[in-house]
Amino acid sequence: MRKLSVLYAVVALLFFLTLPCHATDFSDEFEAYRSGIPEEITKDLPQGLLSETPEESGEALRQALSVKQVFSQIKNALSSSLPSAKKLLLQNLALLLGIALFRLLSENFGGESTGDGATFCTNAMLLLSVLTPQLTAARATGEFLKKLCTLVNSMIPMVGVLLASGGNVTTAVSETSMLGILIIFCENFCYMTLIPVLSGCAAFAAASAFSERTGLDGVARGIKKTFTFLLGLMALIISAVMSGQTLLCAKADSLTARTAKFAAGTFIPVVGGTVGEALRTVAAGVEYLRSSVGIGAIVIICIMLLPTLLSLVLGRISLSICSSCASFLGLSKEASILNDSTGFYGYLMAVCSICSVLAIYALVLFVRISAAA
Amino acid sequence: MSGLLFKVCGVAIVSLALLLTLKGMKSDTAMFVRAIISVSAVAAVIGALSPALTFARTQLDASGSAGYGETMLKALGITYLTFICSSVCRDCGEVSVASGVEAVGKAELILLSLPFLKQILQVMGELLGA
Repeated sequence: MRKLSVLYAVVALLFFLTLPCHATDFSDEFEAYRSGIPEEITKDLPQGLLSETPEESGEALRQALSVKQVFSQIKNALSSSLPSAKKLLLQNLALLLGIALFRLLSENFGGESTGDGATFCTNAMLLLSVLTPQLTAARATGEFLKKLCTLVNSMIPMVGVLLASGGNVTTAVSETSMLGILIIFCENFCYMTLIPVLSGCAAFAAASAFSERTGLDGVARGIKKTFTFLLGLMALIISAVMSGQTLLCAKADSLTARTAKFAAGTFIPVVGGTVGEALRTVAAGVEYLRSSVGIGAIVIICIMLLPTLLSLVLGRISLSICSSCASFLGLSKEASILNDSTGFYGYLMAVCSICSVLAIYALVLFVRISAAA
Repeated sequence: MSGLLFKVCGVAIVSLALLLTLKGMKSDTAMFVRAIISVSAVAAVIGALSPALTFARTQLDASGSAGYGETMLKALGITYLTFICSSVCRDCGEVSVASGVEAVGKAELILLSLPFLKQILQVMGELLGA
């Protein structure tokens, strides 16, 4: 009987030697994560947020999530986005005023043929003044998607190591593969369809602006709505798969860890229960580190998203105001051109928001998974 | 403005009386008088509206769209010139000449919008290449 107990103890000890319960240095993974954060964001972050020490990063995170810091970030984003939106609004309002005056004067004296030529000229001017900021907005959205993909890519090693260190080995594999799918979605679907959709819509808007008969603005609206719907649908599918896989794997890891703890408690004499408690303490430490890294990454994504999203929102509001003013001045064609442009900004906002929300959701799952032990 | 309106109406009635008189006596001279009166009327309109035009141009310059204001003024000038010329030709019974003048005016307006069309195509090209 005594020999049997010793044999059981040796087997259990050998079993626990295979568990990932060891002092791990996360320096390489942290360095990879830090390198994925854009430089202009790093200098705005509170001191210590990217520290490897959980206490330091936790303290910096509390500071970053304070009301004062949040409003300060919003204020900075507004102050960088507001001038361009103001310029867009003033430029288009001045142009509309000029066109209304011109139309009033030329209609009485123009005759039909010169009236058509004058309308062609003014439509070209308005279309140019609307297209140029759209190009800037499209480039800014493309840049944001690239930065988001770089950040998520740099987080994959960190996520895997932190999950595995807490005993969630299967969850680590599932979560890292889901982050990979998120990158593929952002890069391949969003980024690669962004420019063709926007170019097509801009072309249809241009054709519609120069001809009374084409009516292609309806086609452009249909294309935008279809792609926005497809984006939403894919995001829904990815988030559902992410949640299901992550939760199931977490439960499976939890079952494995609890079985191991039970075996340790039962078969290792005297110190069996202590081993289980030690595992739980290590897991709690890793969980705290996971929370600070995950929430820190969510804060970084929000800081990255804010200027781009605000500039798109303000641009859209400016063009909506201009479209209303054009309708008020009796310029129906010009109002239609400006209205189509608001849809352009709407699509860009949808792309930025959906990709950011998916990334934040993945990080929330990462933070919320409880340690297996 | 109301003072200008009364003046213009007064001049128009006097001009009409003069033209009707000249039509019976010297129809060649009537054509020139008609052209002079048309140009004067348009000049009076532009003069009366110059504060509004200056305001619109100032706003466009202030918002960074100086090129647009200049183009609109040129387009307005082309429209008026085409109108005056084609009206005089029609009044003289030369409808085909009037149509030719209008066609040239339309072509000038399209040429005026050519730089904007080039820039639009450039922006679309940059959007595709982005």
